[in-house]
Amino acid sequence: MNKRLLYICHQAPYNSFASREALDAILASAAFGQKVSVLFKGDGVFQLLASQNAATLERKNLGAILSSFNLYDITDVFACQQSILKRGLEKHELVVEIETLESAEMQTLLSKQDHILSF
Amino acid sequence: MPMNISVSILCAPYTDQTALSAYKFVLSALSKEHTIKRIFFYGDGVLNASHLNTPPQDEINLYKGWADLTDKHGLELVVCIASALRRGVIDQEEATRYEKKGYSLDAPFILSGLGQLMDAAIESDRLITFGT
Repeated sequence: MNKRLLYICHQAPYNSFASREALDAILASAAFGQKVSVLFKGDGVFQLLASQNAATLERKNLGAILSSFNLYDITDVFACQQSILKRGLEKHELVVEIETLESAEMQTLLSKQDHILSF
Repeated sequence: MPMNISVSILCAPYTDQTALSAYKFVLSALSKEHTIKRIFFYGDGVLNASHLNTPPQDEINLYKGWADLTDKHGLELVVCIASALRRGVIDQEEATRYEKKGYSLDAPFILSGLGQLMDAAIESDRLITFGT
């Protein structure tokens, strides 16, 4: 059976392991053939930066995992417009192609899901 | 209408209130005749599964809470193996494999993979996340 799963990633990339463990769950969902969408909001939008370098933190680069989304056919990738604007990010700085959403559009996205997982 | 519910727990016990809230939620759902399909412990949530957790006797023992509830209702307590090994939550088999001196996870908790979370999502009417 196919379920629509939305992952909300709202934490900064390297503050905790939650962001990494969210990405593992996202890839697993896609591998299980579920209909996966991902929404980055709050400090979670920093995960999208192409220029992130985790080597000095001795961590694995989350951007590298994000850029494998298309290999898993994960194309419904969204970010909160306000969160992106507030943090001064530009679309061309991001490692994956995203669609930005206003808050009403986020509500619509949430209302379409079977399950929502927040990390 | 009774529902088939799964719960994922992402937070450590005794760090904040959330792990206890998850336990209370499950108690309440069972009392309302809902079915709890699976509890999946992920991220810091795996720390709930260590039988070495030893809170003072006059405080709630969340580990014992889950174990007693499982005795009574046959809950499935599944712990993500990748999250668990990172955090020292390890069963006897893995302890032998990695040549560790001890182990911290035992029945009724079991180590398994993220596939169990996916299966829970697919098979349940509701998947409720506690933590973050």
